[in-house]
Amino acid sequence: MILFIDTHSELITIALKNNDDLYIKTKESEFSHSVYTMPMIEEIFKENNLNIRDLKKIIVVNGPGSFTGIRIGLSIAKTMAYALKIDINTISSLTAYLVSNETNKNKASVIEDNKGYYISVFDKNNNPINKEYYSEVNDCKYDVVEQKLDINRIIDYCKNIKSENPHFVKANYVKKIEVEK
Amino acid sequence: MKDVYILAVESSCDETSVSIIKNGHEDIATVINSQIDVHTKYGGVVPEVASRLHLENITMVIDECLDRANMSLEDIDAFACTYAPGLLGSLLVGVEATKALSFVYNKPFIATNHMMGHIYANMIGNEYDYPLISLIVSGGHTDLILMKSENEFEYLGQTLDDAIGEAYDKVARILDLPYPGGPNVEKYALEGTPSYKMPQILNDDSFNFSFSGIKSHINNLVHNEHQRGHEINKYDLACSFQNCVTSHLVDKTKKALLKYNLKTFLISGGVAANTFIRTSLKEMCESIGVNMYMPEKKYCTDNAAMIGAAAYVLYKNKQFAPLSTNAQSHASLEMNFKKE
Repeated sequence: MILFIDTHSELITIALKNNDDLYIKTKESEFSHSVYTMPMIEEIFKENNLNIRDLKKIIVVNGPGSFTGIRIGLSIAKTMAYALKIDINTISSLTAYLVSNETNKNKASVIEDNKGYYISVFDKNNNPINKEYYSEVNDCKYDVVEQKLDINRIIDYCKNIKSENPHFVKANYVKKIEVEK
Repeated sequence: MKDVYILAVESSCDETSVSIIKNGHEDIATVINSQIDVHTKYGGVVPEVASRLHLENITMVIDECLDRANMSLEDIDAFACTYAPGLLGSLLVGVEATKALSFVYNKPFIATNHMMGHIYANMIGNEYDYPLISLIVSGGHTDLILMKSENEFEYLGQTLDDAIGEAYDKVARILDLPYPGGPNVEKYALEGTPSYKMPQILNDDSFNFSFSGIKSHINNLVHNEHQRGHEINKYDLACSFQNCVTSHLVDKTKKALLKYNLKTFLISGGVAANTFIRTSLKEMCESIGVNMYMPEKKYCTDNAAMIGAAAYVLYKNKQFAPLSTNAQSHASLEMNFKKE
């Protein structure tokens, strides 16, 4: 059983995959990720009569996106993985969008914030073409994929990625903050 | 009654702390991961940096605490954390991690007010009776509180502007003393004499405090002396400042103790670690026959042990919080207790 947590944007997505069954819960929230995320996780287990003790792995989106949003998802994910002693994978929000979309061309994922753009480019086989970056201009020359998540594809993509140590799970902020410059 | 073990998390500012407290008064293990080195670089706490470090450290601090206590998460009866007041981004890391533990182990989740934690820090190693007067002195608060019982808080007075710790930090800035300012002002004051004339602070009938006037006074004084080409004696100025604000605290507290005719007094909060303030209040209390209690210095500054002590009071009263609990930057004490 695999739990998926995404809190990087205003759409909170919680998904649970048990054998071939996939359960998904989403919720739009501007400033209340803390109010909804844990209850959504609790409900997804309860509503489907599943036990947290059967969880084998957590996949959590670690950004880029809302700093506070990311930290809420990651605090929950790393603490649960630590407590349950199970596998954990982080996935970039840009990567999550890229692997959710299938095209026969190179593809780009772009997330806009108030000052610029987070950009990531993959080829059609989901190999990165360049490192994720932050730019004040959207200089992306590729087909931009739709911002939609396909949980099954994300789970497939993470299949061959080694589990991380929950203690070392970090956010993927991409951008530097003012004091670090 | 069966022993109750509470695992408490504190992350309201720049310290990630986890503690295991037995029956509200016994500190089984406490780990404090301070970010002070990082924030010294910037001359103060940068909220975004603090939040990032909390996220990186949280599970390691939990693990280290369990390790020191020689316990496992299965042995814990309830999970508690600070939910307010504090830096929102920092609080959220502790709140979410604690809710996750409570969910995984199906044990109560207790949302604790940070200020309540400061007051109940006195429970660790002390025994005292109610009613009493409690003074919280910290970087964000200067509150005089009447507690008729363990779970009743009545604000008698508060600061009208800066908190006392804030004033210490600002004076440290004016005197060019490094971060953390408060303890450095205290160090300098120790070696000086109160040779500078200080203003009278808020000499009225209320139980309120004020610390921004004296900060401005010191700022002007330093500025004027520089203009005249005079050297400032930092030791004497720190000492004059400390004497002045301490007598302000002592006067107001004494007035409250006499008016309500109470025999018990508690002090808490980060500034309660200041030896001069502790001693001055103690002398005043002895002179009017009041028993004064203070936490050990290590329980004055931010720590999770005090959150565990406060959480035990909430636990006894079955004041559990839902998983939808959000962090709050501001919250008054009354809100923490739902009366039945």
